[in-house]
Amino acid sequence: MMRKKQFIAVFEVIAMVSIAVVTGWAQSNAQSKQQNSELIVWTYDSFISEWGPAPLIARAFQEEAGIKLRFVSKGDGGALLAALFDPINKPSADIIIGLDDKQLDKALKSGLFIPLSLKNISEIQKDLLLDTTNRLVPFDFSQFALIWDSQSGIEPPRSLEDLTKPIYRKKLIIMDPRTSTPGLGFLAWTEAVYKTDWKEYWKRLAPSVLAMTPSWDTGYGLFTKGEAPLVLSYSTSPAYHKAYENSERYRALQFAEGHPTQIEFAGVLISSQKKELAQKFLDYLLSAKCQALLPETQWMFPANIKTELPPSFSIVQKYPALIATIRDLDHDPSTAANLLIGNP
Amino acid sequence: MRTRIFLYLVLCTILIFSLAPLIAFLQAAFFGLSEAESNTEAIKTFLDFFKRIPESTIAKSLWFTLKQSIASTALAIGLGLPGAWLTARFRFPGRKALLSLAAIPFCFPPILIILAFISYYGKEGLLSTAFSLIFGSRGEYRGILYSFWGLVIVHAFYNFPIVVHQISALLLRIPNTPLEAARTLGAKKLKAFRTGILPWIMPGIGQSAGLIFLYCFFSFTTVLVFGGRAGTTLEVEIYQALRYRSNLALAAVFSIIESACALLGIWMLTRIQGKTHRTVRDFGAARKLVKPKGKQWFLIVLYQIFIIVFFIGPLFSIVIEAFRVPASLNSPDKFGFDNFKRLLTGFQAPLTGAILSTLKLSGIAALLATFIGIIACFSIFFAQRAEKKSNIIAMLMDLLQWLPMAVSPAVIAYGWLFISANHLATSALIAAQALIAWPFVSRTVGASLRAIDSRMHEAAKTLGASPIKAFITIELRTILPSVAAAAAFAFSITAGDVNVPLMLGMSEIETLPLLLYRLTAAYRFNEACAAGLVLGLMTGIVFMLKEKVIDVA
Repeated sequence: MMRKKQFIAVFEVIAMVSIAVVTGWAQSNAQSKQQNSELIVWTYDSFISEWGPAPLIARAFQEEAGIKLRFVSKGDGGALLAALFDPINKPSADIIIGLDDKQLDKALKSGLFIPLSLKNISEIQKDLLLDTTNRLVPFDFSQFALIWDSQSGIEPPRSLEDLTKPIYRKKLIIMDPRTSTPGLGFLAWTEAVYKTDWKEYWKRLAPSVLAMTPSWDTGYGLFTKGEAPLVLSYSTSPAYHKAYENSERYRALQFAEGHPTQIEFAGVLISSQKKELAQKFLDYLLSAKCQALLPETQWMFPANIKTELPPSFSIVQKYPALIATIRDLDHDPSTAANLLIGNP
Repeated sequence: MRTRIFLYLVLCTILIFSLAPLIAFLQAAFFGLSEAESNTEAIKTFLDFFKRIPESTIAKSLWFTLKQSIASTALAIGLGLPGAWLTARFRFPGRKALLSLAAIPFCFPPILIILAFISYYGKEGLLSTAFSLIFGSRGEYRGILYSFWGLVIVHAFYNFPIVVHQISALLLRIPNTPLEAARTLGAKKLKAFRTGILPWIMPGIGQSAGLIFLYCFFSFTTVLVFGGRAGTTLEVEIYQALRYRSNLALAAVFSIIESACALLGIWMLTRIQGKTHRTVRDFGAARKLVKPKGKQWFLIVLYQIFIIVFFIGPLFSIVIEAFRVPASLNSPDKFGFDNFKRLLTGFQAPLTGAILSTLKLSGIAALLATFIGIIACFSIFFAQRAEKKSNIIAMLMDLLQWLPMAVSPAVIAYGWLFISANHLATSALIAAQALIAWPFVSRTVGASLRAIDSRMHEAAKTLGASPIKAFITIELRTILPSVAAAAAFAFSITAGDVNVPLMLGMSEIETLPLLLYRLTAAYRFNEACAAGLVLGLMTGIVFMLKEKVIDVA
């Protein structure tokens, strides 16, 4: 009897000690995090990838201002917005980069962003300033367009309606409107063109869609690996292939219905302990010097009108614009996605 | 009497450890996080849901989950049975290797297998390149990976080694007499097999099928990466509800349905398990292996080629892709360490941090799981010894062991997040992973504890050893190797787990599987393969060490 009791007691003690050690370690970890003096930036995946803008911006800003930036990817654009509203993990960043115009209203309503007074805002293209209170400021933009692989041997489509034709069966890659901002942009595009009949359009489109990827990264990766000849991207995407591959194989297609614009925004969170430094960084982000880093890393147009475009952008065309918004941001994306899921 | 009190104490600790996160999650989902915000919205969601079951996505994703699990299980059994038969009958080179493939689902995480399949079966992968070299053009490639069948194929290949291993062990022990009797009575070959062999291995097949079904039922990463158009499992719906819609109530509804189905599955599984134990016990020594002849050689070689081309190939391609540096403007395609270098010294050096945090977090989680597992299996052991007839504790403990298999990791992770002070993701991660891993520990250690002959213990005492000495020299020494093995097992499970960190939306701390997921999602395959190789080596080496420990013992 004694023996068993002792052993059980010993194990019990060990278990308790180990639990105590774990919590203690976790707490000390949390403390050390608070002492960190760097600015924490939340963004989406492709922004911090090797050839994304984050590495260059981080280095340039450290040289200029001596402040370290730590970029944290929240996944894709949808996850970035969702992270703001997470009821448990309150946003712990100083800065958010990469919310887009479709998400703007919802993000502003959260009341999580402070009004900014930036001196470089005067150099920003006026029609991009959708938030008049300057809580979220635009830093780049581009037009949505479908990219076509000219070596695929397939006739390029000329309109959204063309995409539903049988010859494009399983030839198109789009992004999930629930998780990705280009996906959301495509949904807005179809809502603008087809008005209340957009659901019918998505049903007709379903057979053409090979994959609905969670993020732009995955979709464009699938496309360049040759899995499909058409992908949803931006009018500026061919510049990438011009700059890095000196190739014009992948071309943006002009559609009869017009092309919606995506504008990307950045802001400083109200919970930040370093609001001054954070504002300083955003001012830098909008400066012509920093904006010059964006075209060939983000493959978007810079928002600053004083920034010169690189030679690779000579092949980029501007298309007739189409104003496009999402009617119901809370429900339309899942409705659209569910029209594609399980209906091949 | 005192023992009993202590046993109950232990039981309570584990009970609290297992159930607390569930209660915390459900409480938060239906009553809100704090008392200030009343969560009428959540209860409305819950009621709304029952009104709209037929047209809701819940029915749709439940159907998809069941459909893909059944198809995957059937295919895995179909792939595994011939292998089981061959390894139980014949002695041939590669037999041991075929059997040891069963370690793969345990020591390589799903995210690594997914990566392997994409880099092998993809349009630019090794397989299609080889095909185009042999047959000329690529033809009309439809991209099977990103369809329902792609998902099923990945699941089936990941799990078929379990079938080979388990059924082979069973077939080895089944005597030839029923088969021969049937043949003597004039039954044709097929009929003889149906009446002589099949009834004996059916429970075994049912058991493997049950395990694989459960695994596929909870499949998350594979569906997330491959699913896309085909459909979403309940687990993916939970993830969507938590991460993109911040809707705890919806996630709770999904997870309740999921757990109900899983519990039903587990109940059937345990019933079958009891049966197999009995069947195997009825038979004597293992049968002798024979040397294959003529046509049999052909079958064996055919099966081996099939496995190498379709299963070993993808794993091997990870190694190749890890060292392949894709062509860029300045340099052509080449082989080298560039992928590793970029990950180790590039922007924010993700690999170094990932390795360290994986070692740290999984190490602690594995330690915690080992302690809990050992306490649990000792209390079962002592409970059974103390009172032979009524084993309430043992039964409860058995139930607790199955619980982590029936509950969504998302629920466990979020539950711990609500409990932990300051809602700290790292503590939640450790607790959740430990909770998922401890039943594996208690089963491994428990098996070796039960194998001890109680007479040894008595003999030691007769020879003058004190009870403690007897315990240390007999029980402790015997189970020590299995403790080491179980700890290693727990480490491979927690180190490869991507579900919990993904569900928690952890991004400040990046573990290896999380990095792997991010690189795969960004289609940076070569770097993903490099990171995957590191993870595979880590879990693989730990697992091999474990096998060594068992061998030595």
